Amino acid sequence: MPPIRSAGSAALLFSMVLLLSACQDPSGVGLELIGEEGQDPNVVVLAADTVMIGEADEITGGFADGSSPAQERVLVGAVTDLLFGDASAEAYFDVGPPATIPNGFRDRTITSATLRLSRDYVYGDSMQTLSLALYQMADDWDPTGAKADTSFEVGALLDTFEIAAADTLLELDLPASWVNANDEFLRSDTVLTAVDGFQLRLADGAMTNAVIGFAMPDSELRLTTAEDTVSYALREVFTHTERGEAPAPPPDLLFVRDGTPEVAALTFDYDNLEGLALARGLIRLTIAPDAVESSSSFARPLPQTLALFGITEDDARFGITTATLDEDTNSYTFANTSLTSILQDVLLGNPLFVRFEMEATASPVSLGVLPLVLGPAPAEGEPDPRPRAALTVIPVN
Amino acid sequence: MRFSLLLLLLALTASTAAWAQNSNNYGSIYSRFGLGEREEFSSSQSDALGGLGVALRSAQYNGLANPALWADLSFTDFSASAIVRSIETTDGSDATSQGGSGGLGALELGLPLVRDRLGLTVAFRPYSRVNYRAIQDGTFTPDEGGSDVDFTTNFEGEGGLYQLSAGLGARLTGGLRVGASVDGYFGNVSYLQRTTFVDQNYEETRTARSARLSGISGTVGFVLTAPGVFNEGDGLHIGGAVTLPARLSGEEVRTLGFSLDRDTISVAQEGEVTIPLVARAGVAFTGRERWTLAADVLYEPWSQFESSFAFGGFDQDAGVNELRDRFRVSGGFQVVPGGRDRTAGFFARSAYRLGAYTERAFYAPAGTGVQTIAVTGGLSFPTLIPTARLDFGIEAGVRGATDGILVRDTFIRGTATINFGERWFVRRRFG
Repeated sequence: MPPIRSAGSAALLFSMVLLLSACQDPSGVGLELIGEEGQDPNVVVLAADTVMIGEADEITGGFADGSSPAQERVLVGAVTDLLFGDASAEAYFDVGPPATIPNGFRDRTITSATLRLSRDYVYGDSMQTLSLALYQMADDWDPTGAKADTSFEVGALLDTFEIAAADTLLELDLPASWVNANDEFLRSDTVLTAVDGFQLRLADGAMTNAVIGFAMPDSELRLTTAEDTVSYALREVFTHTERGEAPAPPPDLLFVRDGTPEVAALTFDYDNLEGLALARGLIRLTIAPDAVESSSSFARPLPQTLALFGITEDDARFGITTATLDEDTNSYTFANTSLTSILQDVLLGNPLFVRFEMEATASPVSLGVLPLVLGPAPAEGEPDPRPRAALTVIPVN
Repeated sequence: MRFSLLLLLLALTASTAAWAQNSNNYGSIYSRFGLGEREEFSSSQSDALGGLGVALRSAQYNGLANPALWADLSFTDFSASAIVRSIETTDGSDATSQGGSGGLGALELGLPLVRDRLGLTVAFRPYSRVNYRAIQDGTFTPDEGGSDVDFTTNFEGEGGLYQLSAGLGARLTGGLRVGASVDGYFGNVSYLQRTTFVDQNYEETRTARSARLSGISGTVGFVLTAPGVFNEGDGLHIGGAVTLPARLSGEEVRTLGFSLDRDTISVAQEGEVTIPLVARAGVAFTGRERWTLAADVLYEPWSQFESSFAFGGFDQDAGVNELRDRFRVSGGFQVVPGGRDRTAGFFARSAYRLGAYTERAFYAPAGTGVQTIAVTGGLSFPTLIPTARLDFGIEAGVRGATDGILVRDTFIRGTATINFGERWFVRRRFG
């Protein structure tokens, strides 16, 4: 046999043996030789070092048609609230045509127009009746980034309406004069600029004790002709809110009132946790619903969703995640990959943010009050009710 | 012909690489200790004879265990080897795990500056290897009494040191050869801890502590030959070599995250590591190129290991030192039925090798020593080039015992080596 061919055959055999070899992943065999005891993940609960009321712009303007920034609700009404401060609200909204319009609609005369507002919120006495006044806007207005204390110029009063706070659908017929004046604009391509929208507010001198909110994606301006009916969306929305002073909260509670610039500002002391690997980081807030409940028909709905923000050294604000109210535990839990990553950076000594801030999400706008539990410190083995971070850390070998 | 050999080398390298990719690339859990499992490779011949070959003079193999052997270079010598390993580990409860790894072994180039009198060799080979993995499963209770969360912690080690040597071997007298080399060490020893969770709400964490080391040492050696002890053509050789302790400097970094997205947990800390000397001694007998016998001993005083960094079994700050001196005794024989007869058949010109070694490891976990016993064997096939051979070696053995925290490794290791010799710098003659 030629030597090189024999050697080649042997090499080929060697290669085949290698490729046919199978391996199995190792297991815990020999673990004791590693000697890495105490490396199990464990949860460190870190009570907030400081919790205080901070301030941030209260943005209530936006778009109800899915555009950004989103705002799905407007508020209107007024309450007298001794515990959390008197509040009032005025609603602004503009109309936009639907994506498709029936053939011939643009050629027919509009005979009537009705605002159909779907109520989804009441703050205050739900048994109240409200006298509302509907104004047409005097000029074009932009809801983008509009703060709660903004006011836009209104034009003529169109009509007033008596409505019950408990009603879930309000139908406000617009006067024939407005319909006639805007008929052509509503049927034209320039409706978005030619029709400036409406303001809805308490009628001058009216007394009430409720603020109601309308779900704008579910509300519409219904236009009727002799042959058909077309629903225009209420797309640009804004709420002007005012809220008075409130007395100091009881000990161990902090009230964060929506509809104001108030936010909860938190910091943590991460001493002794530097350099640890973090598998999960979350921030949890416990609330005391009893503190905002009333024995009468006066309702103070709790914020259903809170937003968590990180604040940099130069006060730039970045949204991190949101948390919904867990009514079983009366708590909000902020937890996602971004928050874990942010907290991991803190443990590595590279903090991106100097503090966290929480507030009710900008949309839907509300007047809810967040009754944060600040204490007392728990007894041994008891869950901590204070604002806290729960860090699942892994010791580093 | 050279092209064919090159193709063979490429085939071996490719198949080894493919095998390594298909395997889990894990080896002995004992590789956690010190700077990793010590690697020994002198030549494919000595590898099959138990391991060392300090006194194993050969016309066809350029042994790396002793620079004095480089004086025998007659041809420009090149060798490259590929290694594969398979290991099964058993603990006291008879639980087992299996691992496999592979890769390139040693690369060596020898140049005869003065034929059979003065040779220069440059070699690259692994000094130590860390490639273990152990898994721990467990549960922990999340905050505020949720359901227990399952996790798996993977403890992994990877890396090791490499040795780059360059030196000269010279024949001083007819029977005395001496040699010296400069040995550079460099490499990285990393301990990784990877924790994974079934619950998607938890992020996998991966932390690593890596020490990058480099340093220089030197080796001196000799071989004494007594020719014709029993018959004409015989040779009895006695050799010895000492590699001086090496002081390695380096830095240690702790990181968090994956390879391309790692955050530094702690800044690099500089430190020093002293690896102990290596003393080798051996005797070999060659009988007319037909029979070869070799026996060697090796000693490394790892009890004198020093390090400002913590390694497995050694942490100066914590007062942990589970390292001890390493001893190794090996021996083997080779037969080439056809001897130097170039007209003999293929199998008569092939070499058949058998050897064995026993070694006391340089670590003693919890004070218990670890012993290795292994047998080695190999075949060396001739090629059409008289100075080129294709060698295959195999080693099978047992390391440790299922005693206390110890485990028993049952391992098998295969090598394939191309040894190629050629005359360089020969003035062409005309007429």
